[in-house]
Amino acid sequence: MRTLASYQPTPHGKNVMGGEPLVFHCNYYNYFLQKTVLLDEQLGMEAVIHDAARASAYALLVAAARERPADPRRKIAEDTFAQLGFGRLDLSATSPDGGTVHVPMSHYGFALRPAISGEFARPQSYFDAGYAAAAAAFVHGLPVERFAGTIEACMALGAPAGRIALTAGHPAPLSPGIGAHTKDTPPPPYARTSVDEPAILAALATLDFAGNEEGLIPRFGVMLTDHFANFYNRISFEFTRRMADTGLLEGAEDLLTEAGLRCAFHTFGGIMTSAEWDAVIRPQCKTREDWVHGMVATVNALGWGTWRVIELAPDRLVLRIYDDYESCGYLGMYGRAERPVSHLAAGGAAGLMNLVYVAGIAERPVLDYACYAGVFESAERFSSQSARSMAMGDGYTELVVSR
Amino acid sequence: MTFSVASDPSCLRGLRFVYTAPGLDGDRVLAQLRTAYRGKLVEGHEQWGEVLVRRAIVQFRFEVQLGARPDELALIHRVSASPAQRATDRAILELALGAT
Repeated sequence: MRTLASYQPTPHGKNVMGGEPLVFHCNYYNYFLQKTVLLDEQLGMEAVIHDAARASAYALLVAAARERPADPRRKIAEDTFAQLGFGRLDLSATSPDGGTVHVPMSHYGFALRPAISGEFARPQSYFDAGYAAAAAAFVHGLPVERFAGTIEACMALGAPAGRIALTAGHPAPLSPGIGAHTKDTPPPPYARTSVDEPAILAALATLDFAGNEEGLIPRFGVMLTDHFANFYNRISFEFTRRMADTGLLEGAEDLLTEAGLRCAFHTFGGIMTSAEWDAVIRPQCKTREDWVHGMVATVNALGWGTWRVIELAPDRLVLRIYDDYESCGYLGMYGRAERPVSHLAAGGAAGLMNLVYVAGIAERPVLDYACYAGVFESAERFSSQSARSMAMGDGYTELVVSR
Repeated sequence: MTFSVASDPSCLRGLRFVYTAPGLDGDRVLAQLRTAYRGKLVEGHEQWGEVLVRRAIVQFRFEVQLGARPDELALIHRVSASPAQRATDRAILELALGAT
């Protein structure tokens, strides 16, 4: 039995544990987002990834200890890592002065490897290093900035296990927690469909999304993580901020949207060709449009906010998102935005339409690179435009997806 | 019994294999696995909508899912399982499928 903070009921499709919003993403998105933010070595994003992981992990663990003051802190920290699909962590060789954190299994160390055809040239477990630093500080009752994690061994480079050395830490931005939320109430799910969203959500709620004995979540044909929304937000927004300083803001936004497209292709595509989909959702899908509605219903179980289809035709989707996690996080971290920030959602929405209307996901294509290239380089492909942005002060985020 | 096997081409590459066997008898496959793994097989089930999925796990080695689709079972290796263990586990499963 794992010792964890409890999951807190939260409106608008948010999944919250220990005050930290959690969102499901798969190994391919984790790989592609990390690859994107690390593209330019001059940006110094390794430290941002580390610090974002440390901030969210520390906030969640401290909340867990407040909720479970009699439970051993080391068990809370190790169990939380495993529960959320990050792998297994061993904090036994740490002390208030530092030490070493062993990572016998790591999502970032192992599960990113199937996403590439070759070998990694650099470590991938910067998240683990940040989590390890937070966990050690938490276990020994020290402030969040006490430790930094330095990667000494990483499974992504062929090591049999990960190893993180604890060194002197540094201050960094804290997690904003649940961030800001809209006062608007989402409308009910789209009516003109045979897809029953409440029934789908109820069925998905019975599935086991906890990390297995290895601390991994192989589910829907992908390797999931139940990840910190504020981690994704911090590394994405800091990436755009640093790219903007070099005059490449729009390029950075396009890259993050591309990560969303990749997410849709692999996560949504994996879900829509999975046995779970066939069992729970496909029986309700009578038309191609129902595949869009079925996937939107599923997204509403992922912690990404409440997605609502407002208009759907074979050449157009209008989607409103209440409390999309990117907007909630941006408002919590930086205040009101000057530009739309929901890049993952924009890429995901376009990717969903591409899967259904261009790739023909209902015919179960092989979701390999050739398929991706064929779809996303097609003249028939869809792209998203932001019509409203919660981060900019609107009551919801609205995306218009068209060819 | 004859069967075919397809490996996952994407996010679970090298870990997930889907076996298709017309007339698959899940009870007999599980019985064979219980015998082969003598007390190590942990069994459970999950309700996926209208579908009951049976799960059989040997910790740190593999999971088998039965019943998700007709005439189909999925074998998902644990990451910790060595290549030799994975080959052994696939051979045992295929023997069980062939014997039913």
